[in-house]
Amino acid sequence: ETPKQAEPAEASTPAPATPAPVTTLQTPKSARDDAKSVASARSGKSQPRSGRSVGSGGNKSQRSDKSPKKSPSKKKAAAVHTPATPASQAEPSPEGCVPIFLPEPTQKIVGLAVPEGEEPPQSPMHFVPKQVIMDDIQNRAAVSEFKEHLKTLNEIETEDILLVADPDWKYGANFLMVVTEEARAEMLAEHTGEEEKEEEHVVLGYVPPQPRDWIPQGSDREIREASVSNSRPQFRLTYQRRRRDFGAPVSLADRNVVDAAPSKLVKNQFIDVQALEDANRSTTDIPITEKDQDVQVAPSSDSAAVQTFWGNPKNAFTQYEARQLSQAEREAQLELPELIEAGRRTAPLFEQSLQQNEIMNCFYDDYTNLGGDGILFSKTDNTFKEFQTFTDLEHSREKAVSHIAWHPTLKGIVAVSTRERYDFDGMVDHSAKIVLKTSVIVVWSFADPIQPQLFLEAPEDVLCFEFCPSDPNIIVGGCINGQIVLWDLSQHMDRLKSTKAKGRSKKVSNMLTEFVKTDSIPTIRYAAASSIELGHQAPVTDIMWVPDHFEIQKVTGYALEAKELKNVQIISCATDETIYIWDLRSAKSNNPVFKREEDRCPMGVPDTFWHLHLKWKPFLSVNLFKSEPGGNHNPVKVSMKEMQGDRSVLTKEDPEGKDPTSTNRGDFTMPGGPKPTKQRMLQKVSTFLYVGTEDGELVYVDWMPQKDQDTGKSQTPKPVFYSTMHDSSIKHLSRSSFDRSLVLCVGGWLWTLWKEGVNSGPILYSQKSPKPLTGGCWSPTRPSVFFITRADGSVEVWDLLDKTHEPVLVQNISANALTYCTVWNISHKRQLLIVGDTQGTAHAHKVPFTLHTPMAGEAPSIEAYYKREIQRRAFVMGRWDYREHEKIELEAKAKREAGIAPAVELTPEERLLKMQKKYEAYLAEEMTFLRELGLKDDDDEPLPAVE
Amino acid sequence: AEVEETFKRILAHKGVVGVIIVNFDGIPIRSSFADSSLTVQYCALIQQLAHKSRSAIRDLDPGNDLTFLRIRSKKNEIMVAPDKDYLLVVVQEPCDQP
Repeated sequence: ETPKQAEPAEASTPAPATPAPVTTLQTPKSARDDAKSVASARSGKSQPRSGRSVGSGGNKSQRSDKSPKKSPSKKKAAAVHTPATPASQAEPSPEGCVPIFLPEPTQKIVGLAVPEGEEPPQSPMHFVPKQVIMDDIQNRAAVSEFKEHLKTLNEIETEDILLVADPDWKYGANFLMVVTEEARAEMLAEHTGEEEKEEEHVVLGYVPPQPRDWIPQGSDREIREASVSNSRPQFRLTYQRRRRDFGAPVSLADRNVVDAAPSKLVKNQFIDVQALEDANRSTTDIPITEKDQDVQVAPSSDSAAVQTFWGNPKNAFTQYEARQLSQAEREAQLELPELIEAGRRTAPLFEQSLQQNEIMNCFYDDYTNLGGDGILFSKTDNTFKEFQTFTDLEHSREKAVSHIAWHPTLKGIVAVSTRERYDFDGMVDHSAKIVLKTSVIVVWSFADPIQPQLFLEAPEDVLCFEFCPSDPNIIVGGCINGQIVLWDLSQHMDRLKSTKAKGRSKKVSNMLTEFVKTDSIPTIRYAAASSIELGHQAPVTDIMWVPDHFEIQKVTGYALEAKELKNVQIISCATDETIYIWDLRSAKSNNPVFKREEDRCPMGVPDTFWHLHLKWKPFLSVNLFKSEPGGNHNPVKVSMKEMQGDRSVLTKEDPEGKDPTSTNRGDFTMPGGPKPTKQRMLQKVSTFLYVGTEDGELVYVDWMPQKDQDTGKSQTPKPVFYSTMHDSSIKHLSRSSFDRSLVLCVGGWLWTLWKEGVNSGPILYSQKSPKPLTGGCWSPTRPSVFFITRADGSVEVWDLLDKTHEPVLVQNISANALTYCTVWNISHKRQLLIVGDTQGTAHAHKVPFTLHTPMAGEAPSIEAYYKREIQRRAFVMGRWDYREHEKIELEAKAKREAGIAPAVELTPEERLLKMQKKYEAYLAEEMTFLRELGLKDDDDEPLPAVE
Repeated sequence: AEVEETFKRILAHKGVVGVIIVNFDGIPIRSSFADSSLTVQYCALIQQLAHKSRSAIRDLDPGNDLTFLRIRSKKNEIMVAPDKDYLLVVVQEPCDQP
C-alpha cells in the first residue's frame, strides 16, 4: 500500500460534489441541465477547483462525499467528467482494499457474470467463496488475475472474499478486492446503511470560508502595467542668471518690430511664430505615444431563476355589513344580569344630566345674545339727534306738513307736501287767499338744506302722495279737492342725481344774491289730474300704489298676476265714503287722445299721462257700508296686506289656480272694457283692506265686489267687522314690514295694534295718551319698535319688547304739533326719522343706535309676544262668552228665586220643587181657610210632607 | 324587563331623541331610533370615542376610570355611560324654551 492510498478514502470525491445540495432541491432533470450549463461555463476552471477540494479535506467533504454515490449527480459526474484514461484518473484505493481487474472469463468463473437479458445486481458487493478463487489460481495458474494476490488471499481468514464492483474504474480497475477485516466491515457498513445515512447527513451546516493563499491568475500583471514607473533616466536642468542682472534697472519702451528688424540685436529678441496652416492635419500628425485603456468583460449571457407566487386575479369586492343581533339574541341580552346592573348604575347619571338640561338651556349661546340693549352706549346716545331741518319760506311757511316721502332709489332725496291749516270753515273764509297761493310738493336734498331741489305744482293742496316704486320718476298725489294728480320727474332726474356735487359748489356760491337760488329751482307742473266729476268728491286722504306683482282685475276685483312687474294701479281713499282703484293704462283704450296742439303739454310738461288728464276715472270702487243702517264709513287711511317687492305670492301660487276667464265673469264684462286676459289669478293675495275712518273706526273689508242678493247689483260686500276703538279720526294706518298681518293704527288719543285674522279686537292698545296722537310709523329695522308723533311736538318711541305700558322714549322735537313722520334706513349704521310739523318744517333726526339696530333674537321674541297676545285675545273672548253666559244664568237664577223664572228654564227637579212649593202654599192656605171656618183644630196633625 | 323600564323612563324625558344600549362588541341591543343605519353609526362612532376617552382617563391616572361622557354640540347633546360590558347612549335635543 502506497502512502497515497493511506489518504482517507472519503477525500477522493469527484469535483462536482458542490452542486449536489442544489440538485436535491430541484427536479433531477432541471438540476442536471443546470449543472451542465454551470459546468460548461466553468469548464476552464473546474480543474483548479477540484484540486482545491481534494486538498481541503475536512468534515464537509466527508459528509458530502456520501451523497453522490447513490444520488443522480453520480451519473452526471460521470457524464461531465469525460474520463480520459482510467490510469490517469485512478485514485488510491481505500485501505485494506486491492484494485483488481477481472476480465469477463474470470468473472464467469467466479460467478460474477450476469447472464444475458438479466438485470445487473443492485449492490456492487459480491461475495465470492475463497475456495473458488483458490481453485481458479490452481486451475489457471499464471493466467489467473488472483495469482499476484495469492499472498494476501492466504492472509484472509474469512470463508469468502468480498469483491466490490467499480464500473467507473475509480481505483484503477473494475473491481476492488477487500482483504482486511476492518475494510470489509467498513465497506459492508457503508453499502448497507447508506440510505439511512444519506438522509441523516443531507442537512448542511454553514462552514465559514477559510483564508487561502493568493493564486496569481494574471491580474497582477495588469496592475503592474497600470502603475507608472520611470521608463528613462531623469533629466537634470539648471537655470542660471548672472548676479549683476538681479535688481538691475531696466528701461522699457514700445518698439515696432518691423522698424527694429534690421538690427541684429533686436532680431534675436523676438521669435516669429508662424500660424499652422492646417489645423486638422497638424493634430493627426502628432503621434500617439501613450494610451490608457481599460476593458471590463461582462458575461454576455446569464441565466437565473426566481420563484414568485402568482395569485389568480379576479374581479371581486368586499362589503362590510354592520353586525346585528337577531331579535331573540337581543332579548336574551336584555335579560342579562350584567346589563340590568349596568342600567341600574348608569340610569341616575342620565337622569341627572337630562334634568340639568331641562332646567337650564344648555344650548343658550351667551355670545350671540350679548350686546344690543344699550349696554355699550351711554344714556346720551339714546336720544334723537337733530340732523337737518327743511323749511321753505315761500311755499311751506304757515302750512302744515301733510305728507313726507323718501325717494325710493336716490339717497337723501325727500319730498314734503304741505296743506293749509284751516278747517272747512276757515277754508271758506280764506278762500280768496288760498286760491292765489300755489300748492307745491317741495323736493329736498340732504346735500342742500337751504334750497329745495324741485317744486311739484299741484292744482290744490296735496294731502298725500307716493313715489311709484317701479318708476321713481312718477309721483301720484291726492289733492284736497278730490283730484288724483300725476307728476313725471324724468326730465329733472339729472338735477336730483347731481345734487351732491352741486351742494358742495353751492357752499361757495351761497354768498351770492338771494334771487339766484329761487330762480334756478324748476317747478314741475303736474302731468295729469283725474276727472273732477268722476273721481273723489272730497279730499283725498290716502293714496297707495298697488304692488307690481299683481293687478286688480276690473269690475271683479280679482288679483291677477302682473307679468310686466310695473306699478300701474293706485288705490286712493277720500272722505266721500269711497275707496277707488285706478289704473294708469285704463283710459288709453277708452278715451281718444286729444291731438290738438293747445291740448298737448302746456308749460313743457311731458305727455306721459296727458291722455289721462281730466278724463281719468277709477275702474273699481270700494264702498264701505255700515253693518247697521245709517250711512257709510268715511275712510281716511287704507292699508293692504301685499307689499311692494314681496313676490312670495307669485311663487307659492297654486299652479292649478282658477282661470279667471273661465268663471262667469262674462256677466260683468262691460263693452269697451279690456280684453279678457290670460293672466294667472293669484289666490293667495289677500283682497282685504284695513280702512281707518274719520270717526275713528277701523273697518276690515274685502275689495272684491259681490253680487247683492236683493238687487242683483255687483258691489262691495259689507265689512267683515269694524271696531270703534279710537275716539277720533284715524291718523295713521300701516303694516309692519316684518309681519304684514300686523297693523298699527293711530288716531285720537291712543294707538292700537291689530292682527289680521283676530277680529274681536286689537291685540294690544295703548292707554289714553296725554296729548292727541297725530301720526306714526314702524321701524324698518326693528320689528318691535314704532314711532308715534304727538300734537305737542313730541315723538314717542315704543319698544314692545322693553315696555308695553309706556314709550321707551319721549322726545320733544318741535314747538308745534307734529303732523307726519316717516323713517328711512340709510345704511345699517344710520337711520333717519323725519317729522313734519304744523309750521311746514320737516325735521330730520338721527335715530339712536339702540333703536334701529335689531337685538339678537328680536324677531322670534316679538313673534312669541304677539302670539301670546293673540292667545290672550282668544282667552278674553272666551271669558266674554263665559261672563255673558254667567250673567244670563245669574239673572235666571235670581228670577227663579223670585219665582218668576220662565218655564223653559226649568229642569224636572226644579219643576218638582216648584210644584211642592205650590202644594205647600196650597196646604197652608187650606189650613187657614179651614181654621177660619172652624173646621180644623190646631192640634191636628199636619199632613205628611210630600217627598 | 327592568332594563326596558329604565329605557322607557329615560326616553320619556323632555327633548330625548333616542336611547341606545350597545354591548361590548359594539352591537346595538336596544335602540329607540327607527333608522337602523343611524343606530349603527352611533354605535360604531360613540363606542370608539368612549374607548378613546376611557384610555385617555386611564393614561392620565391609572387608578381612575371614565364614568360618564357628555358631548355638547350645536344641535344636541350626546350622553354616554360606558359600563363594564355595555355602553348606554342618550341623545337629547334642546327644548324650545328660550
